[in-house]
Amino acid sequence: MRIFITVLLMLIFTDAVAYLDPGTGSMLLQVILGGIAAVGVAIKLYWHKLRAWFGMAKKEETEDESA
Amino acid sequence: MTNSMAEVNAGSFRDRDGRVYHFEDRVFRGLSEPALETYRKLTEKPFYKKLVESGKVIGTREISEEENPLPDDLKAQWAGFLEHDPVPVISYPYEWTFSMLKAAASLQLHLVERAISNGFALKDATPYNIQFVNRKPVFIDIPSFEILQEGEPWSGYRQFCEMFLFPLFLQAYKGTNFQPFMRAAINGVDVQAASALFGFRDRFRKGVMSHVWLQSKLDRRYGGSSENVRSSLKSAGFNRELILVNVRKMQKLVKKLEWEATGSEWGDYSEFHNYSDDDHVRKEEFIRNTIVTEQPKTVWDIGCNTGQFSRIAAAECSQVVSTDIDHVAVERLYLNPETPENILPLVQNLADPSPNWGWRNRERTDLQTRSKPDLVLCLALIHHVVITANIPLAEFIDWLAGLTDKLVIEYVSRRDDKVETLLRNKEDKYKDYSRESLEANLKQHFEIRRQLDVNNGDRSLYSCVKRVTVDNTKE
Repeated sequence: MRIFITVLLMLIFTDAVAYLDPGTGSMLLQVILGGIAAVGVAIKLYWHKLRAWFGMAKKEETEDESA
Repeated sequence: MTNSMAEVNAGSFRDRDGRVYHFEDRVFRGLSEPALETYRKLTEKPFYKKLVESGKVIGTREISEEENPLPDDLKAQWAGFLEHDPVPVISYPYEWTFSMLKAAASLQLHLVERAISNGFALKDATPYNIQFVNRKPVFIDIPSFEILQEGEPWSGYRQFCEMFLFPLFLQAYKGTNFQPFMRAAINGVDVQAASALFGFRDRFRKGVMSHVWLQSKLDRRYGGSSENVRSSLKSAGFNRELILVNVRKMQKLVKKLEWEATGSEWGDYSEFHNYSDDDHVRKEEFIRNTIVTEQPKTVWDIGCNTGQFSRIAAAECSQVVSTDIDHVAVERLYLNPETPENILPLVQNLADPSPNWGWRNRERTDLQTRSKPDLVLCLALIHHVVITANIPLAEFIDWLAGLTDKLVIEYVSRRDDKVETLLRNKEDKYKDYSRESLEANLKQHFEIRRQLDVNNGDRSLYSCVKRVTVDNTKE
């Protein structure tokens, strides 16, 4: 289960940068460690990202990104 | 009333919503409008009341404008003020033993669990928010409690790892003392450092794979991500149940961490002292008499070992701070159910003591700034200071004279086998290590009131009181 969620999250966020921002990775880890309770969250994260890739993101999400 | 009488706590600057002030042995905390509002909501909650009643959170009350003795210009800076019960002696995680840090970690997790279950959260997770009062960990940073924002992850998770979990891992899994790591960096052992310290084989130890290795991988990969992960998590349905799952798993993990405090040079010392039981009783009696006569409030027992003389002092005074270089000995003192509650056991190396450091070198202070001894016990220590740590005897006595007005010091002669052992493989450059030298140095600062010879004269105890100096012309 943990491996499944890990792979899912690895697919979602792909940009790697050198400097460290406290906590982004640590926040994602909480989904991975959440186990079964977190499967829904992981899938939803993936689904949102997929929609964004295909230009189907919701209007407010697009606004957020431009802000 | 002037501002100089109220002292701002130099370590309380991080949270913009409050600040701690010390005033005549009392502790106050100014709060911003939103922080005050949160505090008032918190105090209505039964879970919080229970935490205070059980001594897990420091006794705190909101004080009115009239009750507030702080200067007006300070009062004007904040929407309101709290008063906290004072903590007898402030201590830091790099002075604690493994079990003390573990107890503090368990308290932190308990508070997170209680808070999240009741619609609150803790905005950080640092052991500096926890103090030991009567040998139990107590949480002192009330404004750390905030209203839970649904969908937010556990914001203190990473900090918990770096300041509690990784140091505990180091002790439990690597057998290396965690204190130097906590003293090396004010934010603890960061994720990348932990990842470098724990090798491939360590990944199979409980909790290392996920909290160290995976966290460091994710941290490297997404650390600079432009994604707003917080809002992504929220819209994906991250919820408080998920935090609770993680906190409860962490509680189980911490509970299982063990360090066996054995194998130290000094941890067994009290069972193997090289003098007779009769001498031992006389030594105890001498110390008890001195303390009863001098009536100190606070006693420091430096080089306390497993604390047999600390216990005598604790029966006759209000607070004993017992320090030793040896983690194992101090751990035993902390864990011993017979240790009185007014003993605070701390790991401390006299030759490399807790420094003033952090922001402006004032955020964390040396032990002398946090506790002023009225009497110092310095028993069977001087040979370690002079011979092992190479500190000149005159300097050591000079330091003691600056620290305390009353002193009980034990001389261990060169004929004593402990001293012989220390000198066995060392060139004897310690001409200053003699009874005559000690007495002469003591007399420069102190008046020797009483003396007791034990162990056929190989060991002597001196009870000293500082001379009142009248000569101020040297300045």
